[in-house]
Amino acid sequence: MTPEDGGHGPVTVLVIDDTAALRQAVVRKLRQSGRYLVREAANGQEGLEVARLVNPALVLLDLSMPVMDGGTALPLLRQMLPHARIVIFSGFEHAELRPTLRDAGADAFIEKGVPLRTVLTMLEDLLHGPDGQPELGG
Amino acid sequence: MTTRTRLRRASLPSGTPRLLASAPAQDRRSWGRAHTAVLALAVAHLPAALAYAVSPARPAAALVLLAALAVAVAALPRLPRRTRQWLAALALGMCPLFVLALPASDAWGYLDILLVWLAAGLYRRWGPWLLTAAVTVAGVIAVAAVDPVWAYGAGSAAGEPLRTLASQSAILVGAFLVVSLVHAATWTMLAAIRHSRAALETTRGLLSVVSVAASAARTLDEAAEPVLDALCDDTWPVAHLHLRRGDRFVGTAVWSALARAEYPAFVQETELRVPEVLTHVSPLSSAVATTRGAVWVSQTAGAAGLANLAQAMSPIRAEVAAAHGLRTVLLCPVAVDGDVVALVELYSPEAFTTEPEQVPTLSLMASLLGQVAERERHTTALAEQHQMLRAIEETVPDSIIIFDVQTRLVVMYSTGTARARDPRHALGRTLEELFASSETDFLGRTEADLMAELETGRPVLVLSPDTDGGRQPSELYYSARTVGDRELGFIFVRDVSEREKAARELATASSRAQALLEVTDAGIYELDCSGTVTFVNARGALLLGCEPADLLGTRLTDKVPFLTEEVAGALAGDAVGVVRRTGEVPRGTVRVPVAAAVTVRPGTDGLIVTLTDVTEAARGARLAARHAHALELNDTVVQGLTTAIYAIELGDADTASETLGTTLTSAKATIATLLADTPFDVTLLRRTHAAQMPASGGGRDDA
Repeated sequence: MTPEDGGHGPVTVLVIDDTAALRQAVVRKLRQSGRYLVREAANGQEGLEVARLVNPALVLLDLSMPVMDGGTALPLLRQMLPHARIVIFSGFEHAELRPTLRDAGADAFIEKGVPLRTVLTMLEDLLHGPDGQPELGG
Repeated sequence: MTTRTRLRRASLPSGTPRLLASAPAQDRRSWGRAHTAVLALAVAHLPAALAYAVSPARPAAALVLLAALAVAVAALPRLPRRTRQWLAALALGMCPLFVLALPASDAWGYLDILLVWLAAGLYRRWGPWLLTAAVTVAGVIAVAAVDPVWAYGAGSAAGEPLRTLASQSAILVGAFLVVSLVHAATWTMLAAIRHSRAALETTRGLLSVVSVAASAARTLDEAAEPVLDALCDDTWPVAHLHLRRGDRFVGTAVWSALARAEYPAFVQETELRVPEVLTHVSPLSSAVATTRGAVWVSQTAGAAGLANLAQAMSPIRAEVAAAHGLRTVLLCPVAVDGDVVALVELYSPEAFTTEPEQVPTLSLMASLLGQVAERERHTTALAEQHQMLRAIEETVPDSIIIFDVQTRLVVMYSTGTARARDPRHALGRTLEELFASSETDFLGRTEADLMAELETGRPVLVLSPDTDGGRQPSELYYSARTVGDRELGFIFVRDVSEREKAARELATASSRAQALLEVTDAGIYELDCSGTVTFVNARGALLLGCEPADLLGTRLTDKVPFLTEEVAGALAGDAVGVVRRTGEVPRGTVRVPVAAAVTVRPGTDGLIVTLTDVTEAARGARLAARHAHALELNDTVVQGLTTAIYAIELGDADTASETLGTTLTSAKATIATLLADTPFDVTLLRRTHAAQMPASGGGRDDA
């Protein structure tokens, strides 16, 4: 099932973040919505492996991680998942990096600290919005 | 006109008898013409003489008969020369006295006498005739004083002789004999003198031929042909030239004209069968080579003589010679500086033992021919030298000027391979004129200054014209040598433009290298095979806190002990490529971190060591590490706070509380780490309040 199916089935989401508590909070919120089938990974390398298995429609990707950071994993995920939405979920705003991240395959940017309900809305808009273009978080 | 013809025509004086002083052959030749006439007269005269002789009235007829017999006998061949001369003299001497014995009316008698006189006189041409006429007159006077013939004739007509017939006849015969003897003696003496003069004249003519040939001919072959032709006569008709080739004497194609004319078969057979017969190992040629003089080889009649010849020459050649009637051979060596270079071989059909008077003439002839050979040798050597000199001129790039030091005249000017100007313009001019007309720029020097500077022996730099119309630097070198009897100066003009260019490029490269050595941040040290510093740049001395002069001659490992092992290994040849190591060196009271590289200096037994101050690099590394720590701290705080917010939003207060506590603990630890790694004093004064979140983030500036 993909978002293009018009939401007839749960959407697979992959959350990649090295902070376990933070990752679990986001996973919990997404599952509570009932519309997402959520998978998680603790670093970029693990994220690639899981993505290969589950073929998510949406990826939430942290930047600063051990083993493989988000900047390295991003182009690989884009290559692996050409139709998925990849959202950079970062703890800081770095305007200078955005063009580079867009070129590498990022579809949206969400800053950590934004309320989870807002995160959820943003993801909905990204998946099902009229133009599919994300808004900036914060 | 060939050289041979020219020499022949030029060398033979008019009327010169082409004879060597060989009397028997000369006698036979000249006697040959008179021989027939004399013999014919004598034979024709005999019957009349007999008739006269038997007539008692004609006692003088007996004398005529006697004279005729004498002449006839003198005409016989194989009579010794001197015997023939005496008989002819006797006949000649007696002839005039017949006038006294004959009556005036006896015309036939007078005719007889005249004919016999003529025949005998042909033997010696007309020379003795004057003497004979004088003797005749004297004889007539002498006889007339004793008993005039006319008195006899007149007395007979009167009936009473003044003396008896027998006494008058005895007187006449006696007078005849006396006068004849005197005449013959005188005539013989004159003949001998004339013979010697003729021989000398012959020798002079021969030597004249040889001299002309020796002076005009270019090679020994050219000179030998006319000489052999002049040398040969009936006695020595065959002459052959042999030239030395290595240790052998090889027959050439140079034969006397008489040999080819009268002994063509011998010539041909010799050339075909025995072209190379005389070797240095044969007894004959060895004798010639040793004695340097003419050597006779004679063959007497019979087998013993042939064996004699064969012993001295090759058996084949002896056989061939004997087959063609040649019985005697004379070898005459031609020597140059005591070295026999050729042999002249003379053959004769007559048997001889020795004729010593001929050998000096032959030796002189050989000596003159030897001069030709010597000149030929020198000419060849000179030509080779000239060719070598020309080859040097054409291949050596330098110009060479050779001049006579005394007269200052240029005797040779070689322009070398790089010049285009015709060198002939310099010949015959003085050195000063050459310099004055030269296009060379002598850089302000006069000719006198230039020569003075050259004579010091140092090279002089000038600007010479090149083939492109420009000028190029050249150096002049001078040297003087004595050649023969004159002193020659040699000036070499060498193009040094390439050398100058290379020197400039080397200077530029050296300057560039020196500049690089001085501006580089690395300390560079050159070590010899013992590890002693032989070169250090300014940076290298500064790194170690001293002056370059303080390091030269010292061991580098005394200042940089942490490289002791690496330097020792490199000097021992154990190092492969560049050996790198980091360490610290003392500089005053401070220890400076350095990165060292040790490598072998190419082409030598020494090393090159570089030291680079890595203080700033280390500081940068520490700053980067601290920056990373700071980022990590911020990220930890952000992650922790975000987690707490989300936990609260999800209603999980416990998780929020726990996360906040963990975050705080981690932040403290990170800050402690940052503070411990700070290499300078940290100020605790904040720029902003801790609760504020400035737009640039962070409450402190990173150090």
